[in-house]
Amino acid sequence: MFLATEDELSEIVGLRLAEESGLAITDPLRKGGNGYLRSKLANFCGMARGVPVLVLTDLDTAACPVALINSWKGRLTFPDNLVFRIAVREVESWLLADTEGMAALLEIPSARLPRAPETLADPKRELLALASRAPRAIRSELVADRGALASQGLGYNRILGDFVRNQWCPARAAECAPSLARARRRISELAARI
Amino acid sequence: MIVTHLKLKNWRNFREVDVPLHERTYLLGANASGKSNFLEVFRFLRDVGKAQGGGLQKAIVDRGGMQALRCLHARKDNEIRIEIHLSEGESADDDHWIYVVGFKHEGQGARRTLVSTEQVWKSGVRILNRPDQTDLADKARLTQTALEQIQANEKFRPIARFFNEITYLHLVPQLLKYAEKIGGNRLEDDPYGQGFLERVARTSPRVRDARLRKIAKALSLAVPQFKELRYAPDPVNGRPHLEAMYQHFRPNAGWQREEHFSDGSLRLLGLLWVLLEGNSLLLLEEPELSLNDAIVREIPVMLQRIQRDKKRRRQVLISTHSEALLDNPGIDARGVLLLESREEGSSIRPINENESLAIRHGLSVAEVVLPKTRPANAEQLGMWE
Repeated sequence: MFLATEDELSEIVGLRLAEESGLAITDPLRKGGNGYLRSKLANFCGMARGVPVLVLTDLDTAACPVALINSWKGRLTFPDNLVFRIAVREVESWLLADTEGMAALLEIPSARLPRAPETLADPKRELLALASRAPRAIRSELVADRGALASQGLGYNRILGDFVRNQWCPARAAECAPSLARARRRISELAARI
Repeated sequence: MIVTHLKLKNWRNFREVDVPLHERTYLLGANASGKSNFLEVFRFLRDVGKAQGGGLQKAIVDRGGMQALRCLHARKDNEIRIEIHLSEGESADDDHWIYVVGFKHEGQGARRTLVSTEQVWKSGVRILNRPDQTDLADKARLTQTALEQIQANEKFRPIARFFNEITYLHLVPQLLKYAEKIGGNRLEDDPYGQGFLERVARTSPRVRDARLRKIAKALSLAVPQFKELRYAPDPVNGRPHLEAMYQHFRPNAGWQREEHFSDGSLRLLGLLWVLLEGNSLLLLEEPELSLNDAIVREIPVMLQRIQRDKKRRRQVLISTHSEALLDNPGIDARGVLLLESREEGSSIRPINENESLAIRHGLSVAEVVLPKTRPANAEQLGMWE
């Protein structure tokens, strides 16, 4: 099946969620940014009549998932096997939602982590702020060096990608992230159906 | 030691350059905007300072003479001038060096190329200032720099050594694969990797094996089916070779020699080798060539890894056109230099205020700066007939 995402990290999360339900992603689709996802939505609908398509995107600043779906959807009707899921607000909140795993990665007490990461306006910034208090080895990968003109560390995707593959627990994270809980439900329904 | 600043006058297609350099500096620009000419300055200084077979006159002649070196847009002032600032470390107590060299044709007579100025500053004190009285009394002295003379460069030997160790490699896989068939002619210092295998051969076996092991580890991540890499000189003629073992071959199919490696594998191998070799200034020209985007994306991360290791910490100057190489928002944009072609020659600048604002807000260099290097009418090339 297909997995269409807007960035590397979302792709790794999508792979993990599919794998958890026993679905095999054969074709990951990605071309930088959600503009691509939006422009190809009609194509994905057509494809999903043959092979299931899982689309993952970030809510970012849109008012709510329903509003975002409606504005993307226009007059399209989604076939059953197109699973369109939205991370509120960004996939980083799904990572933060596994407080135990994230606290272990950053070597900080889990009490410092937000209880309801989906209510954060900018979860990535929160993650970077937490990482800036992590021990040097992990901090220097995730956060830009002092004085550097960069918004994050060079190893951001690599470290968090590893984290999602090996440490992140979707079930635990879903307890603090309702949009993730819904995504897991839809994906396991898809797995049961096909 | 790292280069912190560079000023140029009338160098190749630059009338004037005045830019800071960082530990990792990325040079971006359209084709023919002068990226290679910019890197050439460092190779020029290396050739001037070379103890054997170097010197100012040879470095100029090797590049086609003053006509080829001097900027076409130079006005009345026809002096070429290079000023380079170097620093031993980041703190203020470390030694800071400035080396300045200027040269031009003498206006009359034999029209030799003479040093018009040569200065060395060490932590704010001028320790060399030419031409001096003896130079003026004997003008022939001005055909040579102090940098190229062991007796004269004693007080600033560290920078002479630094120039001498500058590494440049732009490995052209075909030159390496067909080295024997193409035959002997090879440029000094072998910039295009024809003699890459000799370079590997000259390394002591212990160091060589350790490096090849490291490289094999990286290649096994990047090249599907790749399994092992070894150094294997030809048993008959002793010529150096590298051999690789791939998984999909029959177990007894044996080892494949470098001429059977793909272009990408060879480029990556060359790149990894120079990264592990030495701790001097490294010039990389378009390291993305022949490589898959997924690998190119990791180049900045690999460079950072190398720099974290104190023993191998080195400054790297990279020219690139690659979106994949620059799309990591973790790239420190202070190290980005943009070359722009203008009617009066190329100009070069660090990123401006608007660009830094965009980068601070999470955009990448690929998004903000790279579009500016695209030629304005490139889409019309498609109409070419």
